[in-house]
Amino acid sequence: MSMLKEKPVIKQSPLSDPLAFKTSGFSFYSLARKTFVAYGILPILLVLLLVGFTLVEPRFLSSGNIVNVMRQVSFLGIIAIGQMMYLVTRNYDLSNGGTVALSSVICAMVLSHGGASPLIGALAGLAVGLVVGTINGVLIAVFKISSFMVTLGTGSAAVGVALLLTGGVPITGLPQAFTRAYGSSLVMGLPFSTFVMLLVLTGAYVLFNWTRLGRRAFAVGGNEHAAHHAGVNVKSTLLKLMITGSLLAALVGVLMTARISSGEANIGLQFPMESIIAAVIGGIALNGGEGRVSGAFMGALFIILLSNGMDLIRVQSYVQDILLGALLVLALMVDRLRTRVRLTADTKPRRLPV
Amino acid sequence: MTVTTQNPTVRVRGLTKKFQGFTALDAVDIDFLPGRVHMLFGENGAGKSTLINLLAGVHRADAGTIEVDGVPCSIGSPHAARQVGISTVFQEPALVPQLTIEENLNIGREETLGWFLRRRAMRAKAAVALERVASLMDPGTHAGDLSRAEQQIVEIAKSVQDKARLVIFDEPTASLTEEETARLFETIQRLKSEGLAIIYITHRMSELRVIGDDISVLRDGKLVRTSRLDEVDDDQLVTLMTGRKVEALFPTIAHNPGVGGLLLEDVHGPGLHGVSMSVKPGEIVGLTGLVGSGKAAVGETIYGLTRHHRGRIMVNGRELTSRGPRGRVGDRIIHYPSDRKKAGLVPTRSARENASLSALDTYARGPVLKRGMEARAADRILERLALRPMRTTALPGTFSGGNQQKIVLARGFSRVYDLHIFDEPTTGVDVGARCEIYQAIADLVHAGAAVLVISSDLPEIVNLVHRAYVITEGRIVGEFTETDLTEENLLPWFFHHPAEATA
Repeated sequence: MSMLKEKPVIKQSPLSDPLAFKTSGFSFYSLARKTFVAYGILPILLVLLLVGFTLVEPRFLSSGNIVNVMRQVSFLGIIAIGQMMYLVTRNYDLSNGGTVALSSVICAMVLSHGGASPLIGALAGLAVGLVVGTINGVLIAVFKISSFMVTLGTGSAAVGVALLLTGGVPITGLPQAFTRAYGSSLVMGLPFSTFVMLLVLTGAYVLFNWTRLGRRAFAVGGNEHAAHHAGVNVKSTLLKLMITGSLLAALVGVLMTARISSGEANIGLQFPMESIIAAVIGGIALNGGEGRVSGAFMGALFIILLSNGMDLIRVQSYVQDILLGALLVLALMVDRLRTRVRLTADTKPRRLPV
Repeated sequence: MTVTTQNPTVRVRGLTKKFQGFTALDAVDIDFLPGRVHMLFGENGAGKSTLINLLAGVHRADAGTIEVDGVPCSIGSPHAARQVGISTVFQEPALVPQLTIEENLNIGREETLGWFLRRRAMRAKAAVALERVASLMDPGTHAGDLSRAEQQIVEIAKSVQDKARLVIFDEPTASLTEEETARLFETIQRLKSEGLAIIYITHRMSELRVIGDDISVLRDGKLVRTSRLDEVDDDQLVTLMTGRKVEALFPTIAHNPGVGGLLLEDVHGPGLHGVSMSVKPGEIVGLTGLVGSGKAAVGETIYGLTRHHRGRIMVNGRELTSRGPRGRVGDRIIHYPSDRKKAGLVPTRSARENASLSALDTYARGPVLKRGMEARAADRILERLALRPMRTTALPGTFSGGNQQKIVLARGFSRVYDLHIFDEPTTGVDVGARCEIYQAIADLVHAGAAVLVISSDLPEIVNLVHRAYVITEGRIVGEFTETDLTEENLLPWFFHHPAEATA
């Protein structure tokens, strides 16, 4: 043991990347490797996309389009963070689309029938997230039913309730105070929803990196058995994460309702798939236990930029779907490779401190 | 060396394997003869597993040669090993539970006509394989419905199919009852009479002479001696196996039993039928017995992983009423699981995060983590446990077994616990790390903690603890202290039947 004490110990700041090791100087290779391990191929794809569309279509970088992209990315960005709450604990959320729809309908009904204040309407919408998240959490954590089936069921049920309540007709006539405040207002020069997304991103970053709950969520997702053995309350961890995740979906329901000035039961159907693609492209492991908030956001940004750019150059939406499907499979392949690189990265340091 | 008249089935020369600078196997020469059972004997980490992993193609040798029937072979994969006629029967049967015995025997070697399966040919082949191991099992039975011993027989049938020349058994009786063991030995005798070479690994002295013909003793990766079993006695074997190093491996732990500590009174629960025992603060106590004897269940019950339905578990005079591991951690009790992969480590998180998982509340203000403080504390603990390489942000999977165990152990040092329960603390741990782990355990005892070590490794029990209990069929059958604490005294109690004794 005494011999080992003389060994140089590599000191690292707690914020440094898990794979960082001291190198004698800047190395492009090691930076690229670290980035790949953290985010997969996403940064490369994003750069390619930005450069490509900018060259092909000048309107891509126009201020009008940028605001448009910001709005769209805030919806999917928040949804993807919600999805991340489930994925990190090794579960899926296929109910976020249904949650968005029901939240939109409930929020609109409270506002149009009751003449409630915008805040009450928003809270009514959020309550949907609380309910769906609790049902998901209890069924998954306590009754140990597969999250795939649970959320498929609750999502379908939520859409059903929304359709039943509206009869399939959008609920209009929302108070202007609501649509202005949450739909079209600007906060510090940003669309309201983008501002909300930034808050959500910050909150999620703090949750996953600086709180006990976040740390426990990663542990439960990485190895539920070991987490239990180490004294982690697995059920409560799962429940809290799932409620938070579904609340975020409901939040998007409220924001979209304000933006389109109506409550609709058929919005959000694309979210389960898009949010999973965004998260996985952003390096959040489907096997749970790892992932970054920044990755989920970049994944969402990528999907929005891709469809926005393709819209601009008039690619049919069917073709876009094909491309998105192909990208999901590609992302999963990269995910496998990333896991392997991550495991080998530390066993063979190329440069040891001399 | 034995004077051999036969040509060896498998000849190993100068076989060497290093793991990150640690020499697990050092220039080993052994001949494995046809029609003979060759026992491999040695302590944990002596190199037995490394040797069979090289033969079975799990690892590649760094130096040395393996010849099968005089032909040098390069064995790069388990598949390649089977191709040259070396097959392994692992401890854990790996059958597909949903398939029948017949189907399991034919996986990967189906008889086909064009695209179609030749079911009758496959059935005949399976019948032949079962016949060779003298099995009367119905080939139509689903593997999932078989007992572990029966599954193992099917595994053997599977491994001797095709043209097996050498069959390796890695502690095959670890989880078998005596009757099942007898059946297994019959099967091995049958294979032997067919002229197959057999390698048999065991920790049990009692099995050596029942089944073995030759023996090779390994220590610290080196071959100490190969001999016919009738040419050595047990005392010689123990000396060969442990060498002079055994005392150096185990630290001397001062025995200062205090008041309080752990007290079990007539505890009944899953696998336990009235267990009473005690561990005082400042004392290290061993608990040993066969697999399935209930020794692991004792630790799991104390830690709240399973619930007892009768009797009392007291710590420092207070009966435990908390629920689950979470409650027990609150009661200042910690349990280190035997299965690191399954119950110990979170593979996706760093060594540091794994080390601090049980103590997050001590590193937090409200819900917010003080990560700087956590990192410093966790790194200090891992450094003290001599984690190698000392890279606390790396994933657990990048460390050797011994160092993974240190990461699990680090949990016990992240806050003060009154009782530490170690379940098989050194399985799959190399000698160097073992030494460091024992030293860490000694430090805990010296600091006044009560320590319970559950182990099937008798040298570990005999040399490490102050006091030891033997458990059989969920009942404590013997307690040994000081001078009584020898392998010879403990071993007979392993096979003691408490039910018969009281009847």
